[in-house]
Amino acid sequence: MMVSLKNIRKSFGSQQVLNGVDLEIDVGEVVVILGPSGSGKTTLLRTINFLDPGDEGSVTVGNHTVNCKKHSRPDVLQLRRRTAMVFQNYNLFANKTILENVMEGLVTVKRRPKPVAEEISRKMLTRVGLSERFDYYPSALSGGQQQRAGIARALVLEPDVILFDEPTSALDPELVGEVLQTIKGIAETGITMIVVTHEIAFAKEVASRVIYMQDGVIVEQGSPSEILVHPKDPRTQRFLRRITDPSQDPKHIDMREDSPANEKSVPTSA
Amino acid sequence: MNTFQPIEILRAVPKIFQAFPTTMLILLASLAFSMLIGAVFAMMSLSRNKVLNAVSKGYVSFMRGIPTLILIFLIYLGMPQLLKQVGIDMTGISLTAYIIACLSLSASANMSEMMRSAYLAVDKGQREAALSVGMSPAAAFARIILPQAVGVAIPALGNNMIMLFKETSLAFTIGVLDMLGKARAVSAANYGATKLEIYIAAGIIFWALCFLMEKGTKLAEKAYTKGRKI
Ligand SMILES: Nc1ncnc2c1ncn2[C@@H]1O[C@H](COP(=O)(O)OP(=O)(O)O)[C@@H](O)[C@H]1O
Ligand SMILES: [Mg+2]
Repeated sequence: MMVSLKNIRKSFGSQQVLNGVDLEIDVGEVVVILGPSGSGKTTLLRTINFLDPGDEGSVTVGNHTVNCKKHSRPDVLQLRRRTAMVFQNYNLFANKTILENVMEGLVTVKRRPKPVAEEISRKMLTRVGLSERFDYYPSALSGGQQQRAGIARALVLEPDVILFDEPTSALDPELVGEVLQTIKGIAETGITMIVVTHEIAFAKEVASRVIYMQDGVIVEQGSPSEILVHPKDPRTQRFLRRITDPSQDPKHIDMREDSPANEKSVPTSA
Repeated sequence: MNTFQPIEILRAVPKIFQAFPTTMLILLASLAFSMLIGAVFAMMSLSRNKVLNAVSKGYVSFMRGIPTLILIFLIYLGMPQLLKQVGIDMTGISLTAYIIACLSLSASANMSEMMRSAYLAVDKGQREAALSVGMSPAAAFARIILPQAVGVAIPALGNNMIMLFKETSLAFTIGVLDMLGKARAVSAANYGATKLEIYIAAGIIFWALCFLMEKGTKLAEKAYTKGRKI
């Protein structure tokens, strides 16, 4: 078992966002999480690396378990050193070049000597197709390039699991492909990944398991074909119908209120 | 009464400039101390402790509201009297030290606000990304947030420095021979015959130095951010 979440609960104020999530992920699995905006996908990922600690439950990554209720700083640091995250808005360090972004964790966290870190980082950036951009600052790159650098920054740390939070949803449509292609390449190397995405075709092709989440719980999970082609739960069926309807931008689907009138309501960011 | 003699302006400039080191000492020392004090109050205002937030807010509001000249009189005239009653003798403290203390306190409010807003201007995602790669909160602050906040703060720092520089001229009120004090002394030595020329010279010197600081700020900002956004 690589990742194990037990009964994760989380509220923001009076709003219960995660209602007891249990999840076990094996080594090398690529788990895709689907669900409408506001269903708690981002929050779930953030409870795994304690950017938002859960109120209840426990998180295990590798052989390191942390109780959400009573976690110490070193505990959390340990967890974060076994995980890495790829953010929706890339979040590259704005004061560092692409190469320095990738080196940063190696140097400050893993204590690799600089020349070693630099060599590893150059290789990693070359792998994601950024060999010409080492000395650029993030603001000088396209969204797709920034996100590939973000992926390199996560990958270079050799984490037990990489958490992707809608890695392509902030990108211009023509840049989505290059990033998905990069993620696919990484998935094939056997690293464990959890990917929140609305890209159904990508999920079909790359996922070993698909999870459908709504209102802070896992509604159903299974192989891509079980969930994406033959979903059992009406909530999953409804979601997939909406998301595959080309008149709907999946990013803007909000199913917290299940009334049809709400479908075209004000876009909420996913 | 003599007629206006522009040549006297030129004659006064080097004389006033003799006090340049004193003014610079006051400026640089006040700059350093006000940033230290400002940093403490900025941290307090950013902490999650409500009491510290309130203390910081109160301090900043007071220091912003009170005219520097009143602060100088309070501290220079009032404090020695108060401390004498508890047996502390302040007569050994130099005038320059008083003025540095007053200007540091007065400017610390703006410094605190400058640091607070620069910190808040750095995107939250930057800190989260640093934590997500396993950096400690302290490392995330030192290596990612602070360097970006400094870039944000440079223009405001330049402004604060210019304001502080102009306020160093208040030093003459308690008899420090800074550049303005020197100008007064030079004027008095001439029995006030060339006072207009001398104060014009003083004004020009202050303006020219402010101009240099403004240009310096722009250059510093450019050099620091070298082409990136922050
Ligand atoms: N920091 C926060 N403070 C308050 N509410 C939050 C916060 N983060 C998320 N939420 C709320 O929690 C719910 C789930 O959000 P999120 O996990 O981002 O959903 P998803 O990623 O599935 O769109 C939303 O209703 C959102 O408004
Ligand atoms: Mg989200």
